[in-house]
Parts: sequence; C-alpha cells; structure tokens
Amino acid sequence: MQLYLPIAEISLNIFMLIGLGGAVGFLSGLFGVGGGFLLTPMLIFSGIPAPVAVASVTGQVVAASTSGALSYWRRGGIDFKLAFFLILSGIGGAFGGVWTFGILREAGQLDLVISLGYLIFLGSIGSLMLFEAVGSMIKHNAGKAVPHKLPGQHSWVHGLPFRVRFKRSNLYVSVLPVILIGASIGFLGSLLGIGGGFILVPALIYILRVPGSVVIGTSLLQVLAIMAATTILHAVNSQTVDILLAFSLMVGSVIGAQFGASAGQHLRGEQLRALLAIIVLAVAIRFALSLLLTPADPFSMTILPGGAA
Amino acid sequence: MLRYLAIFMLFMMGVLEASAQRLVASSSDPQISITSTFTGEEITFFGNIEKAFDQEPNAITNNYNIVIAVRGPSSTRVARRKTNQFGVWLNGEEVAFKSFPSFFHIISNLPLEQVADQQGLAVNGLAFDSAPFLQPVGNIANAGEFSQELIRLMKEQNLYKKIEHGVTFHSDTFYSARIQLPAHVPNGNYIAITHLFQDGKLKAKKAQRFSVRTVGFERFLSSSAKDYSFLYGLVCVLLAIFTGWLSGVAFRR
Repeated sequence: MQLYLPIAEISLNIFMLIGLGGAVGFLSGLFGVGGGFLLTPMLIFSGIPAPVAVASVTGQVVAASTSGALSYWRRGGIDFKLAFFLILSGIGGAFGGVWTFGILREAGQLDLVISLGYLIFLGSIGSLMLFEAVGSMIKHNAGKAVPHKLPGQHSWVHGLPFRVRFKRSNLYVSVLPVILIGASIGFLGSLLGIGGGFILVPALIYILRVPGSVVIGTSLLQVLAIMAATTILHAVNSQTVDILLAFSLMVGSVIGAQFGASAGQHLRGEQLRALLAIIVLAVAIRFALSLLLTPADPFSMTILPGGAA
Repeated sequence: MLRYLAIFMLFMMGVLEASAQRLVASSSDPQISITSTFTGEEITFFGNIEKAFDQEPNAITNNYNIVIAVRGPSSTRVARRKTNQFGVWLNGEEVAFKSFPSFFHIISNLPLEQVADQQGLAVNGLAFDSAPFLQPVGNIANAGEFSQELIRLMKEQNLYKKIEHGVTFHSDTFYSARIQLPAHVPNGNYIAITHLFQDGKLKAKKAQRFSVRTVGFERFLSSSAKDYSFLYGLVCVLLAIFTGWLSGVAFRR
C-alpha cells in the first residue's frame, strides 16, 4: 500500500516504512541507541530528500527512546540527576549544531561534513568498542576473571574540580566532563541527524564509569529530550519534519524496540557491545567508500529554498 | 541583450504569423489532487484545429503537427560536481540556475526535428536548454556543461521527458495526448502550451493552466507545517512520546 508523504512529496510503501522502523527499533531496544545513524542513511537511499529524512528521523528517535526509557525507568535504571546535567548541556550543544548546520548548508559542504562526521565518529567508536569487547570475550572464554574497572576506581577525569555527587550512579565526579559530554552529543546529534546514543553510552561507561545498570536508561532519557528539542527546532527552522513519515517509522520502531529490549537480556554485555560495534563499523565503512571511491555520477542537484515562483 | 531582443523579435513574428488557424484545446483535469494514496496520475490534452475566420476556402488543411510543452513551477536549482581533492570526493564546482522548471515534458506527434528546425523549436521554448529556462547565476564558465548534466538528472527522475509520437491525430484536425505525472511530481502551478506547426512554421498556440495540489488531510498537514511550525513540531513530539508510552503500556509484562 502506497502512502503519500506530504512534506517529502513522494509516495512510499507504508509496510516498507514500518518494517524499516521495526528493524531499527529492534536494534535500538537491544543496544539502547536511538538508531538514527542507521535509519537516516536508509531513508535517503529510499529517495527521501536528505533534510526531510534527517528531521523526520529525530521524531522517530523520540518515540523509540520513550518506550525504552520508560521500561528502564520502571526498573529504576535512570539516574535523573545525571540526566538533568546531560540534557541541559545537550540543548546548548544542539543550538550550536543547528547554527553550524546552516552555515555548512550555505557553503554546499553539508554532505561532506556529514559523511566525514559519520566516518570519524562511527569508525573510531566502532573500532574501540570492538577491540574492547573482543578482548574481554577472549579473556572470558579463556576462563580468566575479567578485570573490571569498577565505579569508584579513579582516573584523571575524577580529579577535576566542581565535583557533584550522583547518588543513583554511585559517582562523585566533576560536572565538567558531564557538561562536555552532554554538549558534544547535542552538537553532533543535531549536526549529523542522529540521537548520539552510540557515542553517549561508551562515553558514560569509559569516561565517567557510570555503572551498567543505569547507563542505558540515562542515555535514553538524554537522547529523548535532545531529539524532542531538535525536532521542534527542525520544524520551525526548515519545515522538513514529515509527520506521516515519522509516525510510520515510530509505529514500527516502538514494536521492534520491545522485542529488542527483551532479546538484549539474553546476551552478555560484551557480546552486545561487539554486535553494536560491528554494525557501527559497517555504516562507517559505507561512508568511507562513498568518500573514497569514484562516484558513479559525480553530478547532483538541489533546489535552493526561497526561489519558488 | 541583443540576442534576447532577436529572440523576442522572432517570437513576435511567430505570433503574428500564427493567425491563419485557430486552436481549440483543453485538458482532462484542471486540478490534480494529491491524496494519501497518490501514485501519480495521467492527464489528457485534446483539441481541434479550426479554420480561422478569414481563411481562404482552399487553404491547405493538412500537414499539421502538434507539440505540447508542459512545464511545472520554477525554482532556483543548483547542479554540483564532485571532484577528487586529497583523495576524498567532495562537491567541488557548482552552478545555480534561476527559474529552472521543476517539470518539463514535450509531447509531439512526430520527432521534433521533423516538426521544425532547431531555431524554430528554441524560439518557442520547445527545447530543454532554450534560453528562458537556463539562466545561470554567478559562475557562467561551465554553465553549458552543468546545464546538460542538470537536464540529464531531471530526465532520470522522469521530470523531464520528450515523448515523440505522444500526440495522436484522430482525424485531420482532432488530436489528443496523454502524459504521466509521476508520484513525486512537484506541487504548484503548471502551464501546458499547445503549438500548432505547419510545414515547419508556427501557426497557432494556446496555453492552459492546471495545478497540482495536495488536498484534504495532506493539505492540512503541509500547510500547518508552514503556518504553525512550532505547534506542528510540538504535536509531532507529543505524538512520538504518546506512541512510545502506549507501546510501553501495551507490551508491559
């Protein structure tokens, strides 16, 4: 059944959209990521104009994060104080990202920065996660005890001033790295059209040493809030949020997310991280190829806004 | 400037010459409505070539050729070329074209080169690259090459098309033509200009307008996205949160 999308101004099969949302929702429930980094490229590939894809996916990420965040909240898996600091700094970062987005679009280099951004962040984080996860899987299989760096063990980050106690996470750390992480995610999220969960989760684990029991729930809440703000920003700034497209994706993704969340409980942490790392790396490689290989068609076209007659 | 003046003069001559026959033309749909199940639509143009009031009784009334040009709303369109810099492919050069039609189909009963010569076609705007539609802004050096590539990209999306033998004559004077508007047809005001040629000369022409519009719920959505953008964004967020919450409740175990 074809559905006409009023903002994208094209018709697409509604079952394809729901299916796409479902597949990405499954992953988002499984790993606690929004899934925007997979969905946005897929939609662009289906023929949806890039600005509409980016803006509508932010709406979908809100829905996917809501159902995930709720189920973690019921289990007490959210550190609200930590989330508050992350959200506040994240919204500041989002404004910076939208501002940069506008400048790059005018210069015609937005595509390049998006591709490079995906490549650098997905590539480096994917490789880091893969090495770490494979390392601990090998140790696990060899029967050795995995030497966990437990919360409370200190790194240089914990020596910074302005320390705040996060009771739920069992942390007493400086707010500086928290604000820096929150703002970076907000900036990258709005610039690259992604929720940023796949960057936030490792950052919380490896930099702040947030315990595994609250890291995904807290990250989902932050992604929810930032993406809600970004959706409104996109709707006001560029009017590219297609509510029918977003809704079709939402319906698929919230159902997929439930299955993903329950599937995630049967997998060990390092297995989850290795799987996510492989998916992240695959997307990074796809972007690398698009940057490095001779394009099949070097020409492209866009309509400049405001020129309509 | 002189070139445009010359084209204008030729155009005026064409109009003056075109008084020997009259053209009665119409189309099947003055308005194309886009609804939720829109997958493109066919539009039919038809008409009759009538004798002019002052036409001599023994004037030749055959060898008629009909060419219909259907153009969509214009906008500024940019063509970009990726170039390899430092091993990375990135958008290097770009040329913008002012008032570039977003849709352009040319339908004729014979291949265009048999209807009129190149100049005759260009003067009447019956070539994708005729002057009124290609006004490069700024970088003019590569405009020729970029315009050809832009036209190629539009053709690949079925937004630009030449349909030879698309006009059918049912009698010596009665004709009809059908074109397919694709699902991604741009919204806006369209103009279809029917040209009557005889022996390579323009004899008459007639313009019809039609519009492509979203209607009903889709129209409501696209207009609220523009007019009440903050509210629209807020509704979208609330819908997302509600959907997420509902599924959380539905799947609660």
